[in-house]
Amino acid sequence: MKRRVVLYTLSLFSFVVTLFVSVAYGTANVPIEALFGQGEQKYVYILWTVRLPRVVLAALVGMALALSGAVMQRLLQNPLADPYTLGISSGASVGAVVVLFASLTTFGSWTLPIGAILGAFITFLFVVSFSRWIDANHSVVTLVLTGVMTSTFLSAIVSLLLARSHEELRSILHWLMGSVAMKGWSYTFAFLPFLFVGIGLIIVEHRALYAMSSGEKEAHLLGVSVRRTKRRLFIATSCLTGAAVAMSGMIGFVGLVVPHMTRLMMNRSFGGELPLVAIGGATFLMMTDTIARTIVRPEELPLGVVTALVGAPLFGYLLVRTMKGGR
Amino acid sequence: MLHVQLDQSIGSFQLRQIEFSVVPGEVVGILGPNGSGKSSVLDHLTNWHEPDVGSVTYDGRDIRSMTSLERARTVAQLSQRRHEPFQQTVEQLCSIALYAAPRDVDRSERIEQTLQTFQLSSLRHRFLDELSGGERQRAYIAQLACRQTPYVLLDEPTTYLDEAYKQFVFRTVREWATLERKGVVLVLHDFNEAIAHCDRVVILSDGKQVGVGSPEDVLTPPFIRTHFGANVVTVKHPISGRNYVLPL
Repeated sequence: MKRRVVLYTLSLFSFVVTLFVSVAYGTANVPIEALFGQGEQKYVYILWTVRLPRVVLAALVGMALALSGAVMQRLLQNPLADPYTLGISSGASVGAVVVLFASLTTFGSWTLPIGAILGAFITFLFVVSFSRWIDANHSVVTLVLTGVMTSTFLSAIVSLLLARSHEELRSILHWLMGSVAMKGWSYTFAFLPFLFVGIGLIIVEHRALYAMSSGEKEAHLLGVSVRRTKRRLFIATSCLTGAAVAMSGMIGFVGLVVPHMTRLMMNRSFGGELPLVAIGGATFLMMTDTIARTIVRPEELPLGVVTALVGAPLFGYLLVRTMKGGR
Repeated sequence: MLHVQLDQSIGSFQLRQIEFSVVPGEVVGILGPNGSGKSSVLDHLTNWHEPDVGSVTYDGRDIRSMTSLERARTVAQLSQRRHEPFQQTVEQLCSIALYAAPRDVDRSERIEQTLQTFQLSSLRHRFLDELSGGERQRAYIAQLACRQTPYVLLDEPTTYLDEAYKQFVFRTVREWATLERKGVVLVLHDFNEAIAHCDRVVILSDGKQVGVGSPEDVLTPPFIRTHFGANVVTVKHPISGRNYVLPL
């Protein structure tokens, strides 16, 4: 138990530190006092209208992707699962890329995220209906295979649109590589309902989720309503992933690796990792976004690229430390 | 009382004419050759499969009318092969067992009591995959006991265990039946285990129920030859006087 307390403290501490660092550093360095409305008004303005919404969105998206990944890994009992396994993100991508490709502006600046959410939702319905149709047992294997089939197909559509695009090419690529820049508070607020639904469902089913680690049958024997739990958790992960992708594009690596990093740090301890995963995901994405916008300032690196560049060595270090440090 | 009556087709496998009861305080054994459907029958007792025809009722209630939680409070099962989650401790095994426990149960106290009863207190923080086969089975039996259900099912609980642990399992099961008035169903392979420890047996062959009754009445050499293809003789136990079977 003591290790848990230490971990939680460390985790929250890094979260807060990263939050302050992220708020302060960027294309323009902003003094911390601006957070409280003190100091030069231009800094206060930058902080509250540009910097803070970005940092908060990064934190929320990071949290959503990491949680989604952790749930998928437990649900599918596969350490390689991530939020994109079921293909929902590919659907979101198609929705977004279609909007960019055709330069649609039906809903003004909201057209892009709406297109992405619609794409995610339609894909979700398709994947679930299709796997239910071919497999009355709702086995996760069927669901995963359907997701793989769907995401492969949809990714090809995205590539097709890319290949056929001209002036829109840059904006499509930019969106695909992920970004939380220049979205403003409206994106953050729009993301919140999806976050609440997703996290809410996960909280309701978290004990059932742990019970499912021994397999669906064992969970059933313990009293879990397996069908209901799976349904709710798939809705939760789809909400979290679909909305995250709609708001910030395809940011990879977070959903796959943050859950593993968290578990490695918990060092052979079963269960209870979800809150730590959530905090870790938020911290990680805030940090990588800060790096993305400071390392070649005033320009920015794509967020999806930085998450992998930073995350992979970090993960490697943790892996070495844990494996070499003895079981 | 648990009452089972069913016919079921699972893919190409058919369960036919299954009908038996288990009374509280009774230990019933299910035996049959490999592939005869013993585990499938057990799956119906926990509603993992639903019968095409017939029903499984616990104390008059059809299992299909129960919620998952109600069912888990009525019957618990110890499975044959388990997929162990990575890095689960003995204590966590008992903890997750209380998933369906009613709100007013003091979980930590029940876990404490269970660990003590099964002498697992010193092993509570050990990982399941670090334990010996016998210790692990003891942990799973403790998990079963922790749930305090009126009916328990055990699928081949003594496979791979040494003699001491086998006796531990049967002793525990008999205590559950006698002292706690649980209804116990055991899936067994060994005829003599059934004769020694079961009040009644149900015999399956190729999905069909071919015998039910007291072990000594049912497990006779002609019966065993017909349904198991094995040649045995009856031998009287020198002390208990019960009729056991030995290979010919």
